[in-house]
Amino acid sequence: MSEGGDNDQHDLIAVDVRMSRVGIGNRSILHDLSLSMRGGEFIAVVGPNGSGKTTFLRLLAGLLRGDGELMLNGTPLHRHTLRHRARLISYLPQDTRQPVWPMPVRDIVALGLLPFDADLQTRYGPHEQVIDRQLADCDLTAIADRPIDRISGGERMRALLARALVGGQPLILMDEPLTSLDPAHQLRLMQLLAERAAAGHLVVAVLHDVDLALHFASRVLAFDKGAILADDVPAAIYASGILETIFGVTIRGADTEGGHILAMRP
Amino acid sequence: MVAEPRAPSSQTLRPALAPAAVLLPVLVVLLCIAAVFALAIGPARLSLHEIFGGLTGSNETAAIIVREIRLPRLILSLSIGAMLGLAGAGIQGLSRNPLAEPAIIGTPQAAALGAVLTIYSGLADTFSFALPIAAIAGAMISMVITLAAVRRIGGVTSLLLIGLTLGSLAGSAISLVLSLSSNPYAVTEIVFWLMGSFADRSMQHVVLSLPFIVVGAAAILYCAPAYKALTLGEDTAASLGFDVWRVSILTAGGISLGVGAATAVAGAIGFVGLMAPHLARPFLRSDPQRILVPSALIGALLTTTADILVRLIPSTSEIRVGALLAVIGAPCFLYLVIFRPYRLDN
Repeated sequence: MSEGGDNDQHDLIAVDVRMSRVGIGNRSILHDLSLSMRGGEFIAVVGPNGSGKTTFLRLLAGLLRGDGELMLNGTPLHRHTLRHRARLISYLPQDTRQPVWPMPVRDIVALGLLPFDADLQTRYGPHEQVIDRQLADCDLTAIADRPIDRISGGERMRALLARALVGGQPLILMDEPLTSLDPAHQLRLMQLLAERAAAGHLVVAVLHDVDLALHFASRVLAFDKGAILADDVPAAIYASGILETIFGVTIRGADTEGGHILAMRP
Repeated sequence: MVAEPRAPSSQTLRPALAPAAVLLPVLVVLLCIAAVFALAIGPARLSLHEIFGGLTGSNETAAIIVREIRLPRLILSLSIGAMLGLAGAGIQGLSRNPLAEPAIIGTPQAAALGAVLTIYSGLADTFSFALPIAAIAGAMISMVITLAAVRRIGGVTSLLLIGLTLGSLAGSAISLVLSLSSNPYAVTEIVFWLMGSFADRSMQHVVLSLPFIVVGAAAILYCAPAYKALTLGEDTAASLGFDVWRVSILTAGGISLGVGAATAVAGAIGFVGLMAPHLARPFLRSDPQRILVPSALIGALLTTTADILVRLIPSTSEIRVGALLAVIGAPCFLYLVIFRPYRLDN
């Protein structure tokens, strides 16, 4: 089991993307991608709706292919077996549909361990403590036995997040993980992701909250019209004013005792 | 919030686990009891001693009744009920849809069409195994068309839509055959056959259907962990290391083989595939993987019990097991859906 919370190496994972075009059918969605990502980075993917952020994440997850190469630890992603890939990559899709079966939260979280043990027992087995710890990390201990269809939307989102985090994969892909979380849990999640990155994991998250993205991430990819317009550290992204351009908004900053904060105005 | 994560969970969880641990033994015991009754009940009632004598061959009269008549019937009701329950749990797991049932992929209707054509053409009278063989061929043809079509587009929804369309097509073709038939005897035979029955089946029917059922069931059981991963959708299942396309093919192929062969020897037996997984689910915390085997056992129990009832209910001609299952099953199921904690909607 690659439970990696206590690992402090910074070379757990290396991703290198050289893609001329990524499309679905005849429609081209992304073009001219060229970047490298390493374990230890917390990368925020920002950009307007329809700019290709989700496609970028699906590409990294191996759910679709493009023209060019995508190397995972020096080997093309599609040369890794499905099982091996699932042990390296965890992916939280932007899927707002709720699970159809009224499974308890605990069993939903345990699904994240399927790549490591196809016949997993959620209790009294070797995974019990790993699952318990992840439930506690995501503040789910009190509702661990409630069916997933009888909890609130934010609680459900936390269960899905815990599912994605429980395996401890070195590459963590999250598509809008802050959706429907309250402010305290938004901050808690960003801290959790930053901790994972500090432990050597590579975190790539699509975020719409510019303030949180620029505060917690170590690197920002700004997408617009299917291309990466800017790829830099948060301070440089903020200084360049590129986010104001791609979103068409004004971003105001203020220095407070709690650090630099950002807010958007028309 | 992190103070004592284990203490509350292990206290509340033990009772929830208990039903799951008891369910399998209870189902096995019930099945054994049903099996004994199925061998004992009929025009000639047999005692336990006579059944045993019949099985070992020490009692010659009982041996003919048990081995030639009731044992094939019992094996068919057990294996076909189990296959239908398993297929229902598998297709619901694959499609993430509590309304799905094996007939949604169209093969049972295609198998029925194959059978109906042999009755219509009179081939079934000249060669007794023409009917099941034609039915299996019908199931295979619809499976190949479905899989070939899905290969071009992919996706679970397309698979189900194509299956549903082929099923309706086969159903309409059966209606067409019935309306074109000038022979009232053939029409009656077709209508009765379509209702489904385990009566008057021989060991040859078992030999003909059982291999397909075993292979079909194995394919569905092989996909078990994938149904669990599919709880959170196709993308999540793929990211957890499951090839959703391969799982769709194996499930559709398994159901085609198993349920196709079941329809070929017993006719159309509906409802078991829809009902069995719903009966199993509350006991297993809705785990799409763990409901497979209990669904199969519940399916076997439903068909075997129904097959005992048709022999007990006094009537001029034996009641068809498929019709009985629908007539008794539908109201019972309706009761469960309305009054029990099955929350299909929010």
